[in-house]
Amino acid sequence: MAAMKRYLALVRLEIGGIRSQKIMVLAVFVQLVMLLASSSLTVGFSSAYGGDLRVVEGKSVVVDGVSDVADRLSELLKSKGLIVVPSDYLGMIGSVDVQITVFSGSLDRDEPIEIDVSLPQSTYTPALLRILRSSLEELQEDARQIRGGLDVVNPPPRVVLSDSAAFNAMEKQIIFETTYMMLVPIVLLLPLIISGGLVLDSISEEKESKTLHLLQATPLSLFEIIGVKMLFYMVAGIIQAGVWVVLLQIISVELSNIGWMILLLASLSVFFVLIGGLLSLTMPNKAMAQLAYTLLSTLFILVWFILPSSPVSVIVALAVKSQAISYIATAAMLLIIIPTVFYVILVSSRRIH
Amino acid sequence: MKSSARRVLALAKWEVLRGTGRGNRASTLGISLLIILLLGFMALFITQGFSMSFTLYSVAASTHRFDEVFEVDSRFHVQHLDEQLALQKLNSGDVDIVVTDQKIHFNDKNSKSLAALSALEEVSRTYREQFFHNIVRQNFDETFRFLPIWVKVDYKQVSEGLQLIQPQLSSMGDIEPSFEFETAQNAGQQAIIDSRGERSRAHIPFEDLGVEQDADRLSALDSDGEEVLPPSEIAPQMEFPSVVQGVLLLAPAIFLSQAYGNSLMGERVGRKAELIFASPLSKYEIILGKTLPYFLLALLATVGISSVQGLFQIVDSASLGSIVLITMTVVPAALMYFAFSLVAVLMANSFREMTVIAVFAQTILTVYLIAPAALPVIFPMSLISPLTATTQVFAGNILTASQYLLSTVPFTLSAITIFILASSLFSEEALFVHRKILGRTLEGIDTLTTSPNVVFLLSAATVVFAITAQLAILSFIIILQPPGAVFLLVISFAAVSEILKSVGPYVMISRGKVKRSYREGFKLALYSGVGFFLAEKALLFVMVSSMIPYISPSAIPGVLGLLILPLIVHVSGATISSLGLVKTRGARYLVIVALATIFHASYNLVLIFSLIPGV
Repeated sequence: MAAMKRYLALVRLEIGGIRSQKIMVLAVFVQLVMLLASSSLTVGFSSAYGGDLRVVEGKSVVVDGVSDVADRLSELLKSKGLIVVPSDYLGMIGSVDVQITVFSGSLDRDEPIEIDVSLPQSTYTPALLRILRSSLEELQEDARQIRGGLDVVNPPPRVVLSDSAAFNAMEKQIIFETTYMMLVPIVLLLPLIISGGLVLDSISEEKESKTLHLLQATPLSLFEIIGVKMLFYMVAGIIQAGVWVVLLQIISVELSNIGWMILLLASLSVFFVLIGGLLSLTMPNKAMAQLAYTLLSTLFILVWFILPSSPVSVIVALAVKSQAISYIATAAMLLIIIPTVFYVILVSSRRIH
Repeated sequence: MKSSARRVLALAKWEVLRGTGRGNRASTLGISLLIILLLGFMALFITQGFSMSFTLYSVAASTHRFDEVFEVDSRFHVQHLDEQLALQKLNSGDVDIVVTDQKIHFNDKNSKSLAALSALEEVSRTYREQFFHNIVRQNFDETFRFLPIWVKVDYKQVSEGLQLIQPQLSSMGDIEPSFEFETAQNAGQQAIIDSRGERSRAHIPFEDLGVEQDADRLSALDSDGEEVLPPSEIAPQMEFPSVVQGVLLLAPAIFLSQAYGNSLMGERVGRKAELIFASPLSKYEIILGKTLPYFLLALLATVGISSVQGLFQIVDSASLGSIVLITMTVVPAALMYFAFSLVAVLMANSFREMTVIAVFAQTILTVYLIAPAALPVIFPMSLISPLTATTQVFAGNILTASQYLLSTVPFTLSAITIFILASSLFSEEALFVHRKILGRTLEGIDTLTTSPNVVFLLSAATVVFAITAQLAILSFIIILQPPGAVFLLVISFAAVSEILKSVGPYVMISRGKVKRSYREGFKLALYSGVGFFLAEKALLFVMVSSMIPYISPSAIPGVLGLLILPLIVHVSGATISSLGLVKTRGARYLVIVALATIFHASYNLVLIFSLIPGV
């Protein structure tokens, strides 16, 4: 009971330090900026590369060339809502959005069909390009069929969607994948990384200002002092991450397996706080400890984004309710690393006099 | 001048020696190893490419037709079920799509189901085309049977919102063929079919071509050396990989600016800076001497990284010229990271506060750098970020002088302005006294504004921040496309300029540096408004010059003739703020500035609705 009172006193001291320096306010701002930036990028990507089919409605195209290729291509482009201008009438109109020139080739001759496409660099270019690509791919299938290419091989199946379905689905795909592969992991990991940075900051500052010795004059052991600090920031990190889970739900980013998610985030919070604590105890000064922490956390995050069965891939799988969740690798990693780091901290803290 | 340079270099040398002796051998070795690991990993990622292997979608398949397709893409988790059970699972939401022999079933009310459908369409298309590419690689005689269509895509840069000047098409007879293909039977000049990244300019007959077996893309070169592609390879330009390469170049500045900040803060907290103040160095020399070693090291590291990237042929040309150009595009952003670190040191009262302020500022800066660069569709507007210029060089595109200036001048001037402002705060009294952040900022400005004339220079100096902030707002609005975007844009632009113009008069009036009278208030408004106007037009000229070819020549005289109006508006807005400040104090300042903003925004709206048709 007395020990608990001492721990709580230490926690109050820590909270007071953070409040007076408005640390948490600024830390929350950083996370808000990251959320805003990630959301903006998500929306930006989806509107730039996905978008609405309606942006290309009314766009004009001229198809130059006299052959069955030009005729067929004109037909395909017209069916997709583009205004196909005959090249003879171009002088009356003056300008078009897209110029296509079919230089040579015919659908039924075994020779290249050479096509030049000229289009403006603009916000509707990706949508226009997708329409052009799907038209050219259909033309390509026609040519393969006519030239007998599809008779002699057994190609993989084609998935054919209507243009409106394709556009709509692609926009959803970009938003979904950017949200769950980028935004969700970053938003949920950031408070944990910040917690590790804060505990490093706290312990290093106590070391450098020699106030750690003052605290040791209390009945608290050094291990208890460091332990309470770490526990405080672990819990703070978990609470923050939990708040983000709720906030994401509110902004319609649905997360599944919330229970498992919180458990994983809790273990990652322990992981980052232990790393921060370890560095603050073993590095000779705060500057080097901070640099090392920044480098390490960046390396971890990069590697986790790439490796399968990493904590990030598990966060994503849990969030999207994917059925292929490999807890084992992540659990093994955390079960090995966390006790090891904890032991090193114990040993290191005993070395501080 | 010479003795000043010597003093600065002496301080820089001392900083280097101090820094290298700071850590013990083990920790220095550890950090060096971490840096090497991180850079090595990033280099590997860039050269080898990477794909995030997350499993996102659940698929129920009653057919094995798509098995090979699903195997190549880890986004799909597939279970084989009979059709009825699969459809039940689709209805209950346990799976995202159902694949049968002839159809794909999805839930059109469910975003994830639609996303899965699009992902399947994308991967099956890619896989099918890869199938044909592999056939062609094994037998070039069959190229045009399976890959009959070859396309060259040309992007024309035009600016939206201005009158489009479209190139007039010539009649058919004048159009030159863009490339020639010859069949394997013919000898002579041939285009090359080669794997991506290994473009050869030599011409060799078809039968002698060798293609790497694991190449993932087929392309060809026309007689001009321009790339021609099969339709499946046509894709909107995504600059993200180049952006990541650009961020890698900024990594030294990001890390070293943190070390710089820590070093300065250490001297502040430990009051070791008192020794430096006792030296004959001026505060500007102190700042320069302390910044120089870290900044030069960051530049050196940037040159090193871009050389390595050139070695791995990431940059199209590994020449000294391209490395110099890349470094030149990185310098402004690097300078800004250091400027933010310095501001964080001066604003904060402790290490902890400094860390959070620096991280906050650098996060915003990094986002500002990356966001426009990642969206080439808004080029040349995306040149507000210097990283866009870097990605243009990486992508092998031409970067004109005016584009370079557009991308770097605002940033460089902003960074220099921040350094000058921060230097004004660098005094014993300011460093060793505990003060709140806003108080410190105003104190710094107070130190600078020694007379009303300085308000002219201060307002002129804030223009770079105004334009940078306004362009950042513009890029966010283009990305987010909120309702009432035009109004939002106009009001936010006006607010930014009115707030910045009011800073000088606010400090002068609130701190009693001038008499609280309408005459003095109007004088300050005049200085502030004129200074802001002149600097704004000068910078805008630099920026617009990159777009001049796309502005109708007939519009230019009208634009020049209207310059008197913006001058009146700027001075009027500053006058509203100044005169209001004469009579009010404290929080009412915000109300005054809001009034000035409304005035300015009204002018802008009238201008837009009267001059630009269709708005």
